[in-house]
Amino acid sequence: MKILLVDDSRTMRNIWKKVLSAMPGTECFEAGDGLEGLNAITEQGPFDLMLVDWNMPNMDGYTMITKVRTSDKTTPIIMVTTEAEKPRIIEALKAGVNNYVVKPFTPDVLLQKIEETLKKAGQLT
Amino acid sequence: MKIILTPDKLLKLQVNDDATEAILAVNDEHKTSSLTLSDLLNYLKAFKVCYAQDKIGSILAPFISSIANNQKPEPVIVAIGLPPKHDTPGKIVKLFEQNDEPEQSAQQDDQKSHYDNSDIITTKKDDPLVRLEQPITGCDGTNIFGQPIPRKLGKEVKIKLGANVRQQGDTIYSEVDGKVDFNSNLIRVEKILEIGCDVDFSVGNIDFDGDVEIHKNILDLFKVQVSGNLTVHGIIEAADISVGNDLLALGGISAKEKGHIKCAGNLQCKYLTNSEIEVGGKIDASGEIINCTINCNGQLTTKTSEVSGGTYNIKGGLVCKDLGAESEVKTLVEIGYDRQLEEDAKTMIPQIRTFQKKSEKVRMTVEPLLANAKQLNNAQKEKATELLYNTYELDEKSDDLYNKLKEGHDSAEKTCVQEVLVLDKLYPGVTIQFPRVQTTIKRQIDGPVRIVPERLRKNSYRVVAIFQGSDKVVPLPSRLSTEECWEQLDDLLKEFEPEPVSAK
Repeated sequence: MKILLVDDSRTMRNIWKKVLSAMPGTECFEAGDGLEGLNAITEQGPFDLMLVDWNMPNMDGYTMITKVRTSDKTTPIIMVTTEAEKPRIIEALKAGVNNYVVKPFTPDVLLQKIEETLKKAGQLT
Repeated sequence: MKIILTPDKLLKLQVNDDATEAILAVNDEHKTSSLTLSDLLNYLKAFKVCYAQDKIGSILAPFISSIANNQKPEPVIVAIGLPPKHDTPGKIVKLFEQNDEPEQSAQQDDQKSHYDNSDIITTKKDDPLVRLEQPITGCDGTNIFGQPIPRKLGKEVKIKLGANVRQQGDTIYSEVDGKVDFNSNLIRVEKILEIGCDVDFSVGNIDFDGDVEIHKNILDLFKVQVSGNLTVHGIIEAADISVGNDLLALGGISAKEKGHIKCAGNLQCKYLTNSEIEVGGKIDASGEIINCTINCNGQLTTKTSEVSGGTYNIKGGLVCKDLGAESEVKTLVEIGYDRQLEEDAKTMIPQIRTFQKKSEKVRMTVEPLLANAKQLNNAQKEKATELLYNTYELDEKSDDLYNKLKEGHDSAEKTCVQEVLVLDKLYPGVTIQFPRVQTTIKRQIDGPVRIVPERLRKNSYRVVAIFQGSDKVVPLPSRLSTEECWEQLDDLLKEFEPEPVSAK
């Protein structure tokens, strides 16, 4: 399973990777902002899942997801962000996010959300 | 040598036995003053000698010249035949000797022990044993009369294939691990190596991949290494024995404090004295066990005799008629220890405690942040996630170590038996040491009696004697083990134990 991780914090990407290592057969690809994320989709996509931070330099996660959804309506996307306000969450869901994880989170919560999202997308049984 | 005279008896032709050389000479009894080349060639034709036509003139010239000068000519070789080239005989090339004994330098040869001089050849499955080299054809020769001289024909090599061998092309391979039995007519491989005599200098050290049966004794300082079972009908003396499976020592083991026995399976024997023994399974002796150092992973049993003197580390419990001796000989019995678990506990528990301390420290830092999550700025939220992950990683590491220890502990619970059963007499001088508590016997106890550890409360144990029949329990003078790891392990297991589900 190919998973794209988009966050400007390398530490955060490493945490995601370690959490995902609990799922056998996953292959992670990394991007440092929304622009790099879009490039990764063009060059290394399609992906089976995307984890995207909101606040990033150059292009934020929200803009990136809006652009992705113009051509790809199906790839599951989880937004992992410090943005905890309800209007922001609704905004993200409207933009096409499938699930939402608020920082700070425990590894168990992230893993649970990932599995939940993949199950809904029919990629996990 | 054959001599043929010309009809006028003037000349003689000397022909060697295989008729490959003809020498022309004058017959001493007759003299002639003139002979031409033509005369001589006519004689040779009469003899039916085949000669080299292009060279014969120059060969005979000095001969003719001597006669013309009334001198006796020197005999001259007038024809040479072609000897036959005989077939190269076929042969059986032994490959196992080449495999087992590579060429050694003189120095290496000096270092080789006489104990290693063994006539027994062993092989492994699919190893080549012998190669059959068929004869190489030569060619017939020709004698001086132009007749063929037949060559000696090479004999085709044949060998009968016995059990457990196969032939592929010219090579014969072993089908099994075993002992090679080879003579000029037959080759076979025996799965079981049987030695009818003592293991001594006539047999040498044994290293056999399979089962071995020795009908007599194994003498001092010989080495016997067997991957399967070893049966010895005689006595095992101060020898070095290594057995991959079970050892049956029908005559007993008397290693004179020099020999060493290592057996991965079970050991069954008549008696054991002055021996150092490591056994992966259980030990069952029909006679006494005296002054031995034994490490036994299973149970040690000698129901009709004594265990006295020496050190015994027995994982699976001890059953014996008498333990110790009237002479109060020092006998140390360590019972129900899992040395691997002890070692793991000593190294892993401190590591677990360190991880727990670090995790707790991080948790103390992150908890106030989580309590005010809404007030945190983005950077603080990121940091809090990082810290949470750190605690998760530390907890995971300590869980992994705990799980390994728990696995070892559970396995030890199944395999370790902390019990000594003495059927008749337990003598003073015996120390029985369990992992958490030990006792030294001060006065004789008459059996049948079971000696076991009893837990009184947390980290408090004593050794008790339970008399069979009456089930009377008598506490024995006990000392707690000075080894802290067992207490620490008990605490750890209790701490990690899942909370009991309370009934509603």
